[in-house]
Amino acid sequence: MLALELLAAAPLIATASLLYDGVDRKVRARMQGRVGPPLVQPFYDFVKLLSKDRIVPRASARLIYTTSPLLSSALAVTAGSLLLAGLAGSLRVPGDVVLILSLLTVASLLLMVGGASSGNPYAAVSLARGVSVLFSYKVPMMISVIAASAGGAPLLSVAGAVELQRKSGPLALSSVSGALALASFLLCMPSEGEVTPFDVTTAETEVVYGFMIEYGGPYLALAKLAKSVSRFTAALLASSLFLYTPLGSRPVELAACALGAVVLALISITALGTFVARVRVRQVAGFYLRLPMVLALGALAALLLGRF
Amino acid sequence: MGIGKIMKDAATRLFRKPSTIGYPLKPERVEVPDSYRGAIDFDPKLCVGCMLCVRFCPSGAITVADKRRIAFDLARCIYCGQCAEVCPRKAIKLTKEFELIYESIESFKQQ
Repeated sequence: MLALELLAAAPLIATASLLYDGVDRKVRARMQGRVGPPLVQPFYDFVKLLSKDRIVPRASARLIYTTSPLLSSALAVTAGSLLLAGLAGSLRVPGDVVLILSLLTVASLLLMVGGASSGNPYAAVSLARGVSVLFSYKVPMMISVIAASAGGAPLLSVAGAVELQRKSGPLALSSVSGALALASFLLCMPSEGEVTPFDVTTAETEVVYGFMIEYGGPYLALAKLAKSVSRFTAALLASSLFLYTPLGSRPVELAACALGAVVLALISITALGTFVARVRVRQVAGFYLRLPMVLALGALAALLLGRF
Repeated sequence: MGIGKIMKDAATRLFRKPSTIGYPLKPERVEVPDSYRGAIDFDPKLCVGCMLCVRFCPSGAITVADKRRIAFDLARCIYCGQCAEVCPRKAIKLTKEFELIYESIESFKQQ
């Protein structure tokens, strides 16, 4: 039954993610004084890329290069589907929050390794940059998520966090720990989506789209889908763990949660990416080990001290 | 520009009319400056076959066929306007037309 629900949730999360990408591009364009592409442009791009030829560089490790985008997108969609199942209340497994974040991490890592296996030196530089960025932001992100979902039953689960918030209101508004953890998570979200100011991995003017440089056609379509789903899943996770608002009926709450995810992503990813220029690799690592880490540890400390 | 000014500028632009238009979906005409150098308009009746344009063309886009008939290779043309500048009879003009795409080979041949 759960498998069927996950299968049904997969197209839902993929569609929502691509739609958010459209919103992101439109809002970003309007803030820059442009008309911008239509909201459904990411769907057009996806379909067009799928119809193109599959080209594999001669110098690449063929198997890794060709399977990575598929595996990465499958893992990202699985993470999103698990989150949706948790939100709907049909998945009540302890630790599923950790599983979702781990799946997103592996999805990012796989894509980087796949791109680096193309043999392109820019992709190799991108992998080195990507790994250092990944370990910089994943630690505070994981700590903030643990701080948010530690109070619910089952422990460290989306369903547990939702149940808790249905009783006592949105976590970020009702506790110091929740507010600190949300702040830390929001600062980590641009790195999850690989957008400015933390897009050192795929910076076009520095590493020419990094690990994505050789991907084209269906491989690029899947790679872009993986990134898109990871980005939206992170936003939906933030919305469900920190700002889940009890409104009476479950479908209304889910719709509000999705809307909350879009708003959070617009603030943390779209607006921040428009206002701020790209930072350097060393600055990314330094930044995440300071502010988001301090906020996440503060959230954990507040939780342990009983100010939940 | 400070971050505060950038944020304020971006926030106000969000609700203002955008500077660009939804080209080519919007029917409204895109205005180009008077000095714009677009598609070449050549009038063979005015041409006296002096071949100054051939000599001055920096990209070798103008060739001469039989009986001093001028032919333009638009794939090589860089729209610099040198040919129009040197033509003593003003037989060559650069128009404001910038849509140089043809949807079929037939429509290109007709042109």
